[in-house]
Amino acid sequence: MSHLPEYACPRTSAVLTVHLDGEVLDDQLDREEFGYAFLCEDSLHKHLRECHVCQRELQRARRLDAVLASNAGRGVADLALANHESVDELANRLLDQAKRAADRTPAMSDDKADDDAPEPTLAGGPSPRAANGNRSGYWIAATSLAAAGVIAWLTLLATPTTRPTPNASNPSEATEVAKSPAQPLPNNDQTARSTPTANRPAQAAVPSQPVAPSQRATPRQPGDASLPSGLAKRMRLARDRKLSNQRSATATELAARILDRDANPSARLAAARQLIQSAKTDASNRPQSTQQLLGALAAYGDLGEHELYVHGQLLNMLRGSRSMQAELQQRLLALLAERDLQATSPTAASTIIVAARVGTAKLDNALRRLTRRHEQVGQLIASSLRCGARLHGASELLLDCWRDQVAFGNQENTPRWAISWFGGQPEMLIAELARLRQTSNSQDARVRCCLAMGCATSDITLPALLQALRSPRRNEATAAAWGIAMLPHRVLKKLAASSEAPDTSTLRAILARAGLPQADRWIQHLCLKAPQLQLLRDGSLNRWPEAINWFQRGASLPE
Amino acid sequence: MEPTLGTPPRRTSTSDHEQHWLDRCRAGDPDAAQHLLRPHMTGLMALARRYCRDAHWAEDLVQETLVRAFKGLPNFRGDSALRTWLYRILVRLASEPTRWQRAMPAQLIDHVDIPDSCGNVAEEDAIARELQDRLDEAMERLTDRQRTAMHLRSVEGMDYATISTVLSCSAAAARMHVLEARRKILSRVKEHLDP
Repeated sequence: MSHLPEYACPRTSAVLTVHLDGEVLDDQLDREEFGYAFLCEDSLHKHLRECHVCQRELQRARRLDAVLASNAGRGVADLALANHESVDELANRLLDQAKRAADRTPAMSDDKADDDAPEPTLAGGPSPRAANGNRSGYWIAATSLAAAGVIAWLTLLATPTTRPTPNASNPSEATEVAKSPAQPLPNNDQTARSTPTANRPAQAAVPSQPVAPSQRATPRQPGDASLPSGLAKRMRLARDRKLSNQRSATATELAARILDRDANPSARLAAARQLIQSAKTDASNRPQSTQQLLGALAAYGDLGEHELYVHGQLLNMLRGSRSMQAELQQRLLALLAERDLQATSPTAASTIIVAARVGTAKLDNALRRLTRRHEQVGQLIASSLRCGARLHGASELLLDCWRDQVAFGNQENTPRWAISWFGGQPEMLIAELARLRQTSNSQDARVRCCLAMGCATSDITLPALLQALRSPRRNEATAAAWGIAMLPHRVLKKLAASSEAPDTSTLRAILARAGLPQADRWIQHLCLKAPQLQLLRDGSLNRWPEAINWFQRGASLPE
Repeated sequence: MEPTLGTPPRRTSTSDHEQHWLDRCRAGDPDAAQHLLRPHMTGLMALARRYCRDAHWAEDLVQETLVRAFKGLPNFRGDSALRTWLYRILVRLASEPTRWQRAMPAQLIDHVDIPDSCGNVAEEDAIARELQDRLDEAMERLTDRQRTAMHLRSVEGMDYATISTVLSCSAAAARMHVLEARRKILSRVKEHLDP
């Protein structure tokens, strides 16, 4: 396989359109839209004879169509095989089931049929009716929303929620307010400052006296109004003290406060907020504040339920801060340029750990790029996720990193690597693998999922593994069997009773591989020799089908 | 006459054969609908498979499509080919999984039915499968519209006008979807397609 860059030809798309699709663009509008207006078929024929790039691409595209067509047939066959029936039987069954279901419900009226199963006007018609209908629907909805907005705005204008503030620059209005008996003039500064804004113009007429800073009242907070004035004052003073403490605390102290397990969670969150704010607003302190915050968050290791909650809250803060996410992404991209990651290990490690736990799409992409560049980052990501601080998307990130490493030839789709990525991961992360296996179209990815599901410490993945065992693909089914054998004995004991039934050689092989005592008599029955036993217990995934075959052959022997 | 599975002929509007069975369906013949739908089953299942990796859900999608087809068939005017109409139902349903996806059947661990063999694919097929798997992976990375357009073009052999009807877009957009899908797939599997 050559790694030289392949040259592209600007006319390849036009050549494929004309020669592969066989549909010459007859409409001038179409031609202009696709930029082929300047090309004629004769010139394209001539170009194709001379251009090797276009010839190669045309050849590839033709092969692609052929493989896709054969692939589709295989997909249907697999669909039927999954239920142990032929395609004909499957089609018959689906038709019968659908007919029965349709008979149970009344036939659709014209409107309902149009809604659920819109009938196109004519194949090849210039503009599908449904699309136009949808567009007109959008227009109606948008116009209605706009009208409702205008009405709401006018209503708000017509009914003021607060008293109108007289304009001090308007003498007549200010005079009227001053003359009003219902609005007495303030007689001291304190009252004047706590009086609603409606009295401000009148206040302007009163000679003001200088006020000491200590006497200035703190602006009222919502909710203070219902509290007695003494209590509210004490609360304000406490809040001010707390804020001033936080302002004066250094980044190191704040980081220590975040990690202090005995401290109040709200104080720890406030310290983190302070660090984020400091990193955002104070450019001179940004590197230090960010580093301290990342260091504190990365220091979380094995977490209890309470600490996990606090850590989750801290990570949520980071997820909500665009500046921190941008900073993290920038740091990850900077690490990409590093030749040797060991040299910057403490800083790099905290950045990678926190980025993996925060888990946004951009950060995940940056982490994947970094893993491709530096293989050792993968294991750091895996360890950082073991604390269980991130639930969604974590298994996808690990699988993607693993896939990249397999593609580079650094790792393989084997149980050893499955354990290194998924061993010790939280249950929720492992459980997510069942969904990923179901939705993946790649056989390799499904094999990886099966092996990774074997790292579960409970029976949470057992139903998905049993389902995978029925896969028509040998690789996937074998990996699923291996994954089941990796599960703890207490889970496998539940399957032991089923192994007594006839034609359960695969299950017997699984139990024997796992070393379950209940499988000993099946091993004795097969009279396996020492090397065979060694292969059964410690053999590689490649030799695993061989071991299953012994049980299948042995099962047919008379007992 | 027993209906058979197979590739239905390419038509842009209802054929005489379909019209005949449609008339009988409207007249109340209970078997007419099956005669009409049977030839399209393979195509529907293949397209459903492109949308759902999981066989259970692919079955659900086809079945829901058929239920709606059975209900709507008496009112089908025949302005377009029956195949186009059926594919359009499936594509619309596929975009709204909540309308047809049922919960996966729970498997009781105490009563497991474990197959006696692991996989039905012979080792000889492994090399051929590798290309197909990579192709599946590349298809999975396409958007739904690109995947559907590519499938309808390459597998079903539909023209762009029909694809545009199924996807509810213009013919130029359908062409663009196919071109883009082909470009993306080729960028991933081109080495495997070279002789």
